[in-house]
Amino acid sequence: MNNSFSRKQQAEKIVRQYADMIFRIAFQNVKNKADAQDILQEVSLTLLTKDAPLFDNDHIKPWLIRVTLNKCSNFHKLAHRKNEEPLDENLAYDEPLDTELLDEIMKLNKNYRNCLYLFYYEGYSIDEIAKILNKKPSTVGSWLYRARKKLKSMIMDGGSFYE
Amino acid sequence: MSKNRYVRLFNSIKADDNAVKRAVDSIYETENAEVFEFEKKKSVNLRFVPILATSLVFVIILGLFIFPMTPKANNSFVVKAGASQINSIDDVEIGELMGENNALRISFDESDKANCLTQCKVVSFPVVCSGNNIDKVTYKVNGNGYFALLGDVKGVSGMVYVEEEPTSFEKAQKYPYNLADTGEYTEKVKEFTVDYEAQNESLSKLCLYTVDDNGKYCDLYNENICFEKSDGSFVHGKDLDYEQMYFELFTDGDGFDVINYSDYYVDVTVTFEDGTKETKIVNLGLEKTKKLYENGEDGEYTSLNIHAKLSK
Repeated sequence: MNNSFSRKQQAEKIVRQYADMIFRIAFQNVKNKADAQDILQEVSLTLLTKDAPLFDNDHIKPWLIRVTLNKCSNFHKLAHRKNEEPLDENLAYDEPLDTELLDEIMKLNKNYRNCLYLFYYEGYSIDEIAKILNKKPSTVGSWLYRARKKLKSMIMDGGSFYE
Repeated sequence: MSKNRYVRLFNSIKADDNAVKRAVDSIYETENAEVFEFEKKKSVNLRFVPILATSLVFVIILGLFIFPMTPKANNSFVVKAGASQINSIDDVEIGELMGENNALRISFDESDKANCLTQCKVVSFPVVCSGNNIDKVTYKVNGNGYFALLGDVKGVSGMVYVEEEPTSFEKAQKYPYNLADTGEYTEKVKEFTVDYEAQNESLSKLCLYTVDDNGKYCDLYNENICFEKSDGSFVHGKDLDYEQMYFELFTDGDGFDVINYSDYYVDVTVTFEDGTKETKIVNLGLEKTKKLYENGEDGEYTSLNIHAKLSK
């Protein structure tokens, strides 16, 4: 069943299902559309490794998140990569982008950004995020608290993070 | 807690169709799906191992002659706040009680009657220990106060982040401290232990002059809230604001200008690597002073500064 071609088919299915998630995580970390797309491609290729839980629906998503974050982390170590394009010109979007919120999110520490995303967008609990990031729940909790505090103080009156 | 704005933003951020296509194409362009190795482990040239081992032994022996083993430093520690060492002679200022550093939470039952109240003053506790051969440090606060922990602290029973507001007094007692109105509540602790290397000045906050009351509350919550305390007295809403609480809790009218060490102290216990322990007691006191505004405003304001001094 797990022959080469079926693995590729399964990998394709996973990429199509999680491409946006991988791209969002990568974009937040590398702050550049082209580089985020490169990371999407790199992550896709890792699905062909022996370690990839291709047929494990419960674990594939957290695995992809970890791999994406690792790729982003390695990405930053390459000195020649630079973010030169303005953020709002970086993205293809279907509706007007909330550039104010995006700009403020991008000012946060990357751990804060990633925790916010996993908590508020992907719906993971603090414990689940801690397992994904291999951190203690208390660490994740404090990151979330600080991220929300910073973000809340950044957002001007009239535009609430919570509404 | 609604998060529509955040969700809407990230709904707008998507991978291009072309990018997805390229990613999928790259999968099928890979020739061998079964073997896709990451970095190969670097192998060690075993021919050089005996030479390295011999050289290492020689260096160690030579080193022992040149640098004889020195005795290990004695166990010792000092207690510090920032650059200052807390001592038994001088008062060291460790924080300032600010007006906004209140934590107040009132919990209501179904009929909108307040059924519990917690309130405290919050101050940073930038105290760390420094010394020789220290394994971990334990801080224990005595008096009407507790620690609220904001970091990854080893040895504490566990930080609990509660998203939903505690609805019972029992839960409210356990999680009374509302940090910056985020809806999160940290567990209050009288004592916590931290690894020596994990210490940092922003690890904990000290919550003083705490008010926990489960007395009957007789009125709906509004700015004139009134509640009956467990001793039978009534307090009105205007008494709960910052200025009144200051003077109600720890002043004798206008006469409070002195440092008072009798109510609060922190036992700082260091456990050394050999298992022995040593405790120093840090007394806390308040001093009322006048300070100039630092934000460009003219004038001065009343400040309550937390001071620390070691017991003799």
